[in-house]
Amino acid sequence: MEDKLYIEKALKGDTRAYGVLVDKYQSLIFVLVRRVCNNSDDAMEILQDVFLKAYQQLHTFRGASSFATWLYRIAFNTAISNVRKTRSGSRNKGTYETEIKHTQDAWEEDPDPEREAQFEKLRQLVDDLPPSERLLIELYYYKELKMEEVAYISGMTVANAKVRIHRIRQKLQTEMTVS
Amino acid sequence: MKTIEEQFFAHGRKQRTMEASGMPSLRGNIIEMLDKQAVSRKRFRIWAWITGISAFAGLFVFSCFYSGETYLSLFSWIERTAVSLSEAVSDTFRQIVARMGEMVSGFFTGLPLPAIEKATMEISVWPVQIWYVLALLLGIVLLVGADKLIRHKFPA
Repeated sequence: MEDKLYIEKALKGDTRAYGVLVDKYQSLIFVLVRRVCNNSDDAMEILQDVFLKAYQQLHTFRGASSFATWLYRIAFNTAISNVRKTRSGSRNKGTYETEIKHTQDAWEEDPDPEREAQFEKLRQLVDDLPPSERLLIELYYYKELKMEEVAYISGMTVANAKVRIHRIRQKLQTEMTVS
Repeated sequence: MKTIEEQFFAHGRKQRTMEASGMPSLRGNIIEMLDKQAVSRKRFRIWAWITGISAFAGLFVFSCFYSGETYLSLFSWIERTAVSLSEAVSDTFRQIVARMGEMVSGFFTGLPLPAIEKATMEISVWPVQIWYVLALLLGIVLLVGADKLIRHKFPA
């Protein structure tokens, strides 16, 4: 309801109102986009792109989905096309590992080396997935969106999205049990 | 007891929350960029209008200068065609009106008593205009009724 008000204002050219929406959703979109970028700076650039595109296409937002879902869809497409353009789908693992270690230290009170090793392996496997699959995992497992929303964001049918996610999951399980 | 998978994703969610919490606000940047875009779009539109109008005016002056004769003959041809066409239309219309007048007068002279006169006589108590008004009111009532019925059957 609140979003709708800001959207209406933004449609009338009020960029300040749009700024409120940027503030509200930037972290959500950043986390998604970050999954296919080399570093935070690249992610911030894509994020900027996403919000500029969203502003230009704001008149097409009909409110059939939530504003966040609609933004995710733009972010998904922008991130994928950016990866295709720059061919930088593979991460700069060094940087990311450092970030992970840092965040682990902050969150873990009782580190379990065996579990950590499993986490690390699974994380590695997720990181090695193609960008579109990584984004699907991000949307479904990390953001815990409904399958219908994932399908809408990724531009697939619900059945197709289900099959894709099931296959990715199977692939990860197989890889985990192999080693 | 959470499975390893659940723990993994829960852990990932915490990481992402931390990751996002440290990011700088984009609000100022985006607003500034959008404002700049709006200004440049406006400027572009103004220049497009100026260019378009001056190009059109230039073309008009140029063509008048070099093809004045051609334009004159073209406009006089258009004028002649329009005049002859309107004359033809008004002639046809006049003929139709005249023929209809003949037909109507023939019809009334053939009747034993003109229908309208008869009707006027039958309603001699009230002038015929009152009947017209009544018929009009009846029409309005019918239309309003039909409108209500349709709205009731197919609500918006």
